[in-house]
Amino acid sequence: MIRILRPPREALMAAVADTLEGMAFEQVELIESGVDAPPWPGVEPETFPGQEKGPPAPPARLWFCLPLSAPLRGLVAVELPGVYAAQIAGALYGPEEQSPQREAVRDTMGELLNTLAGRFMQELLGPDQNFELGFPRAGEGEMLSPDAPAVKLTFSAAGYPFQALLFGDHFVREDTFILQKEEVQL
Amino acid sequence: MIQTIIIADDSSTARMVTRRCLEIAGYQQARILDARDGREALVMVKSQGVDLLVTDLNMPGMDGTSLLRHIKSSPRLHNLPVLVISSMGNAARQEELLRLGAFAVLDKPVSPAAIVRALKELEATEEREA
Repeated sequence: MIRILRPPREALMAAVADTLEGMAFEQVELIESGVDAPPWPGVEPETFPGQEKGPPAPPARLWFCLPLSAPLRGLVAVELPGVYAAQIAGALYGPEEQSPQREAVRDTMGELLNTLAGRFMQELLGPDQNFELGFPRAGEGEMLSPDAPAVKLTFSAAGYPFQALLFGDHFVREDTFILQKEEVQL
Repeated sequence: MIQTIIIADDSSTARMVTRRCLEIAGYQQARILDARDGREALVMVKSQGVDLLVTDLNMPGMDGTSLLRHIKSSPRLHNLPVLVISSMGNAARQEELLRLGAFAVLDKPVSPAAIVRALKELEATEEREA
């Protein structure tokens, strides 16, 4: 029996706000919340390998995703402007890294997503249920088309819009998730 | 006195953040070494004189829990203090890690203040046991 303590959408909102404020010192604002069928990450091999040296202009859009392995399977993803990802990495690495290299941007966003996914699962499952996470992946451009729908939240931070996405049937079938704190058989 | 610290984390960003937190917490004179996973950390722990291990949990290859088990089951290494910093450290897992021998489990994102608190408690415990 898996106990869900709050709706996934709320848990994701809280995790995004906590993580961006804690790691990047950014206040986030929720712009839009919906269930959508956005492009699906993870099919295309990585096209943002971060091996290139030097600080070229960041890609227009980047996505980062991380599998949720147990007790619920799914995927949490963030899609954001490349320039905002570079800004977050620059803020973490300090003033000497005004134009962080791609590897630093990718690693920073992977770590941010790892933290975000952990916060999300803690918000969703509470303190007494263990969970497992996979490893982050990164991609450049638009995410590829999936059939699976996702919980999609659009935020704004530092003047940039970005999306947090949650894939997985358990998370999307919101009628499964009872708003009061009850045990839910999944 | 803590002179050599190993930080085990597959993310270079996380290692950098932890290193800065340790420096702000007063360990700027310590020798701080990086390990990218549990196996690398274990090799370094065995081959160097290490006073503190700071480890993540979710790492490819050998994860932080396996690393902790290896260290605490080794007659030669079991006294090494291990601090876990992870995004997976809910209460149930914290309890498990403390039972395995970690002296503290901190949530990511970590702060210098949290590290200072944990290391002060470690020092106090070591003084009581000395």
